[in-house]
Amino acid sequence: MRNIHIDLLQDYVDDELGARERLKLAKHLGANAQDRARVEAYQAQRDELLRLYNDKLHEAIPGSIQELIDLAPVATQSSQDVEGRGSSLPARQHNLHESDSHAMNELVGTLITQAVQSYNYYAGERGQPPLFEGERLQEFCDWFECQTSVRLVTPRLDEFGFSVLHARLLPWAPGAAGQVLYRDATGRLLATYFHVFHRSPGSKAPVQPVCTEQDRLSIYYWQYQAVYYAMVASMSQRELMRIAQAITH
Amino acid sequence: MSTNPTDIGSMDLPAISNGLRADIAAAVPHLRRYAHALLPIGGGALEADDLVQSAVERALLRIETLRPESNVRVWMLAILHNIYVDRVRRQRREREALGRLSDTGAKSVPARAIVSLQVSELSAALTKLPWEQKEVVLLIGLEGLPYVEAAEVLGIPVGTVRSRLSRGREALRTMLGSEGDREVR
Repeated sequence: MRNIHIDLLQDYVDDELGARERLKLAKHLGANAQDRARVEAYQAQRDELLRLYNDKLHEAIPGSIQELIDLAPVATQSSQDVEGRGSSLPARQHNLHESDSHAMNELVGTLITQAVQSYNYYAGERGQPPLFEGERLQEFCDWFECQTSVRLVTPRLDEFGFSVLHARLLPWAPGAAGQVLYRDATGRLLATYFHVFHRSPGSKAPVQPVCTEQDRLSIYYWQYQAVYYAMVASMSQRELMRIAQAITH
Repeated sequence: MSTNPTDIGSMDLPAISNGLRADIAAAVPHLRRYAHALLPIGGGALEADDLVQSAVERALLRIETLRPESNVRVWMLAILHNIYVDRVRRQRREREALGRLSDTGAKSVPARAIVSLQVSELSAALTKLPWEQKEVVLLIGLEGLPYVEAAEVLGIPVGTVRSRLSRGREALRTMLGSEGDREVR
């Protein structure tokens, strides 16, 4: 009898009771000081545990653990299908801020912010006249190479219905960054953002391709050698990933 | 208790989807919180992170055992639990072996230097709980798992979770000097 009763009090503390039972027990606790004290003691234990250890949730993941996670290769669609995981574990939507705190390093977080800001800047049609348009895109790439010693190969997205709108160099203190903007027949914009990492990445593991989505805006970012890339578009995560993976492959 | 550092670069890990990678990364802070609370005071943050790293490594190597409907955090906590239990049992065997050596007059191994720590009463009380009860108290009280998921992590029936939780919480209440009549009508 004693154990059953304590179990009920625990169920109450741990929110394991149905609404009706919970109400019934709450009434009982209002009239029974001893049981109420026991419940309060259990709740105090839980609160103290959270107070003592919750800061671990907000600490950066230790480098060696993050490196381990980054080390696993990215499953291609075909390999996921073969392993039976791709279809059963579809790409999920991730909260950008949560990803930022848990998985992105500082640089990638900045890159995403820049990419989104650039996208919004152009999407709002408040932009300055682009530096290069249409046929002058090659000129932009030549100029970029001259400035940064990095040869850009601007991806053509014709097969996905997107054509180049314009490209421009973006101000970036520690390195060079640029953007190529695309538009499809329905007016949807797709921005490709790149950032040349002038400092040596050192021991940092390469940033594995990551796709994320928030508020109907999808972002795909990856690293190749000393250049970070991001694609931003108002389309589903799956559609953007298909385009981005075609480019990266 | 620290294991030999793994040569991460030489590991041959299976491919995972980006969604799964993000889920694993999102579970790591929870694993760290749990591991830091689980290990004895003075055990050191390095040991807790070593435990977490071992769990992540095993999870990545055995990714095919993750069922599609599984909660990644629960699955990884279960892996961490198994590694922890292995280490607790191994330590127990080592202590017993050391005890036998002491009985035969062998030179004793110096104890770990006692570190002066400012710890809360609850942290101190937790170290006195049997590890089986401590795990249940932490999984439910700290990680907020439902009883069913705690049972899944520990590989025990829900009824056992309830009884361990009950004993653990009551022991903590006694150690923390809670007043009140223990008689339950």
